[in-house]
Amino acid sequence: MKESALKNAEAAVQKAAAALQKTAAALQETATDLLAQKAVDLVIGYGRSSGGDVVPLFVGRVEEAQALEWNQHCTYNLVRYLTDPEVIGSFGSNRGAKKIKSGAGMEEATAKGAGKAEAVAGKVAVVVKGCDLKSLMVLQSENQLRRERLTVIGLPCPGVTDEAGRVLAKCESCPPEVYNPRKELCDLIIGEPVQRPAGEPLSNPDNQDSTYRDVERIDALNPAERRELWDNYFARCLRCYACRNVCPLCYCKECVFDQHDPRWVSPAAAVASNRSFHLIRAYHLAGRCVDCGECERACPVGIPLRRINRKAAKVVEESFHFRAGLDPEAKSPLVVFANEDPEEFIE
Amino acid sequence: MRILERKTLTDLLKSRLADSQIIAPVEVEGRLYFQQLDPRKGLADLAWPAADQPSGDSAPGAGSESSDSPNVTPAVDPLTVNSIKEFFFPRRQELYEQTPEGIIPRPVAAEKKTLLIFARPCDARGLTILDRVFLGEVQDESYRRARQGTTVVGLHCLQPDRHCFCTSLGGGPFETEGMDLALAPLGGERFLAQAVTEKGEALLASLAGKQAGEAEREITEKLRKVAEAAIKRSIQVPDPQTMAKHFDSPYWGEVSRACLTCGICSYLCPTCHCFDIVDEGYLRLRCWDTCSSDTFTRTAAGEDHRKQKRSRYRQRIYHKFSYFNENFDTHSCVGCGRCTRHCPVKIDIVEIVNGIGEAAAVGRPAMAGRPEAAGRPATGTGAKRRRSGGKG
Amino acid sequence: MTPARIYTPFAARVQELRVETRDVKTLRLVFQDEKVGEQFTFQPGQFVELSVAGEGEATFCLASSPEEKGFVECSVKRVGLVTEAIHRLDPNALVGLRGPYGNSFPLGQMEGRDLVFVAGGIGLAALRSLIKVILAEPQKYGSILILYGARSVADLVYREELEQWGSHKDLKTVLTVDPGGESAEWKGEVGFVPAVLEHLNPGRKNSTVITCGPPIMIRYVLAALDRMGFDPEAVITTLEMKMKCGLGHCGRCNVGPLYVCKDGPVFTYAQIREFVEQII
Repeated sequence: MKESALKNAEAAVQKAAAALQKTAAALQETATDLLAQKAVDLVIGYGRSSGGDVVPLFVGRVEEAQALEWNQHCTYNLVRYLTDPEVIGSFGSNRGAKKIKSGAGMEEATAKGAGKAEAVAGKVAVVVKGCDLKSLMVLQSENQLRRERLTVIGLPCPGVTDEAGRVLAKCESCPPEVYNPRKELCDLIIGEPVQRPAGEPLSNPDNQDSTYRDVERIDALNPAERRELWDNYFARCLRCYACRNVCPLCYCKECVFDQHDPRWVSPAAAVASNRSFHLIRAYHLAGRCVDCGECERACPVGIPLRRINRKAAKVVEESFHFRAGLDPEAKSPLVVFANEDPEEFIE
Repeated sequence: MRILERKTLTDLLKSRLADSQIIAPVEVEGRLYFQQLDPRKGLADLAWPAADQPSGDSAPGAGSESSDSPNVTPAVDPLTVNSIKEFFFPRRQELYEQTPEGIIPRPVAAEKKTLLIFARPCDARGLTILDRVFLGEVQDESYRRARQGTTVVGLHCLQPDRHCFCTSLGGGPFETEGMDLALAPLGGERFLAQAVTEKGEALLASLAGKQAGEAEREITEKLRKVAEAAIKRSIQVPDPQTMAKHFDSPYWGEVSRACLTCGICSYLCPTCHCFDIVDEGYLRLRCWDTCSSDTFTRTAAGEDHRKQKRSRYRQRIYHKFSYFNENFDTHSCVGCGRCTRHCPVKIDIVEIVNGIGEAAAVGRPAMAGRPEAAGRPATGTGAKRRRSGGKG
Repeated sequence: MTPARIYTPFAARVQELRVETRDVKTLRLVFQDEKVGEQFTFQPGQFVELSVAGEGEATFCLASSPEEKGFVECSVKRVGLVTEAIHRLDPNALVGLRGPYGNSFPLGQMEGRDLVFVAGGIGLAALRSLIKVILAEPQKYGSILILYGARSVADLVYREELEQWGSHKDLKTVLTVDPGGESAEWKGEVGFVPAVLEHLNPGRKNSTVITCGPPIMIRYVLAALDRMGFDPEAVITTLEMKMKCGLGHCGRCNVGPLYVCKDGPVFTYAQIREFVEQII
């Protein structure tokens, strides 16, 4: 069943190659116009390194817009750069150094990458796929963006692949209203809506059993088996923090794992501290993570990180009937309180 | 030089399981890692270099010419994700306990017999570079014991992938620096074995295998040429004056923009060796660290001369391609390509280093698709001063 | 003498924790093992790593003179985890001490020369050891000027020494506080150290300047010395980067190709001139 779904997805990708080229050309034109008219100061999109890899591209000059690309290797979630002060300057609400009170007194901690920011302090355009757009919605709901200074360029997406050409698992379960970004959430949509082979209708939150099958398979294990499964993965973890640093929603200026006074979790890579790192991060993302999958893609040792966040997402969905990233106004249920919230733990 | 059959090698490994650590490539969920073999499982986990078999017309993973898709790599990446440095310089290493009552040292692990098999030339060379640090003026005892106790059996590369660039840094797919015994795959599960050191000679002498003849040497020579020709990328490190000249260029802000400041490049690199010393309760230990991290140079008082990621990325490049050479007569890079291969945003170190000079002069990297800047002289390796003797 | 394992510290006990200012204390340590104490020796300019159980290690320059037997002293400014823990130590508490590390002041090159010490804040600690050694044999050197400043009167360290030096016949002492830091009774200068230095305008010929202080002060002092025409080879400073191993292995403390723990912490201005922008 999964095999044929994958095969169908791959066929769709090939068919759409021509459409991708067309979109890329239109995107280059749009970026040229935006920059020439000074509607934006920076376009964040996809380009290519001289080594042949697709890379994030930061276009500040009109003539460089021709380097923008769009193809099935455009896996990166570029929304991540909207909270990076060194990329977008003083855009948004992120600014400068922050004083943090520690046990020893006042300690001036530096923001993640802040300092003398680039002179690009103005308007930014960002190219997004549907999954990327979901993370942008969460940033918006958390007041991390000044939406009016942002030009969101949505691209209908046939699915992206890994370097071996296989469509990513996350694309397999992506619903149409995500892979064809909704007009009302974007400033521009470039490219025709994509038609992928019919997958399961997953946008219905009541249709839970088809959404979280990978999580359910793990839930079906007994605690000892589950523990062993995850500890084997955590033993591989290098604590490179790629998962955290690639995540568009991990934007804390002073991450709890970078604090050394007190040091909450040892930075040394070992099963116990790695376990703490991943579980704490999952809790910080619960109700916020949109399953863009970048963490798992970035992990150099193949830890199935999506499953951890999706477990949390499953619990949030079951408890609050909420899925992150679909509505820019909706706040995560874990940061707001409503009278109707379930309270089974209090009897 | 002798011809070793696969069975000779597997017999050797099986016989060593009882009294030695065996470190070899292991496949886990589609990726290759160097790992210590679990003696209870015998050689079951060992990933024999099957993907490396020369196969005439149908060499897998040679790569399509389509400009749209970069080379399609085989399902199993022939180069391991991790390098071999962690078996000499562990990710986490307990040093001692300090309680309010006293100091209790952790014993340095005794020298353990270790057989490390199928190390690539880049990995083996990486060890010789780490030797200059850990076996220099001040010797790291645990590192020294691990080096002395380990026999490195290397494996030559038949199919370097598009990220490899060892040849432009004094290495190569058929180089032997850092190996005790070098194996060249001849096809049909045979290897041409060449002893590089006394340790390797002793090992080879203990193995059965006929002398290599002219035919085998010719095959090996052909394979070497093919492999070297397969390496398309060439890093051209500018001379120290050019490096110094462009230190303040806005180029560094441009090329580091996409960087996530994670630790992948540092932790997978065969030559990166920065570490932190931390406390876990009363236990003091050292663990890997990366200069990419925004806490690396931050003092308790909050001072930090590398607040910006552009400063940190620049530090990485200058340390590897300028400062290290000045101190140790070699760049701190073996051209394995792991940093780019596994970077979540494919930051291309070759492109960036090659761009210092032309691109740095104008402050921006060349966009892909534009002609590469005209060639510049390759770096001189003359160091201003000799830092340490190294292992030799 | 070094411990068998390069990271394991000696055990030392707190003999005294002397209050200097609201956030600086001077720690006097005695080695737990007498033999270690007898054999431990160092040169002015070198540093040690001090550690407190469960809190970590930090770098401190040795502020006592190597001639002072039986103890070593470090002055500690309270800025973070380890320094806070040191400030809270009880008498006889145990600390770890690793070292001595680094290079030292080139005493031989200073003989016969006029010496100008320029220090700010806790930076005086880095020079105290050197000054004490020099004052033990002042006849070996030319004229000696000590310019020392702090943010305010209350932030001046080593009051006792400052008084002694003030009345020492072989040296001239000039104290200053930042504008706004003076008290009603203050009789010293008022002005930032680099400005007072230019005002004093010490002679360049046959002079060696030794300076230490907060990075920003060092930067401005070096610039002032440049303007005043001092030979960069005759200007000496001691740097402190965040250090961990102290041995040149962990890669953290480099300034260009120089490791502060191994090639320093004592540098001539000529050595670090091209890297000054990087470190301050």
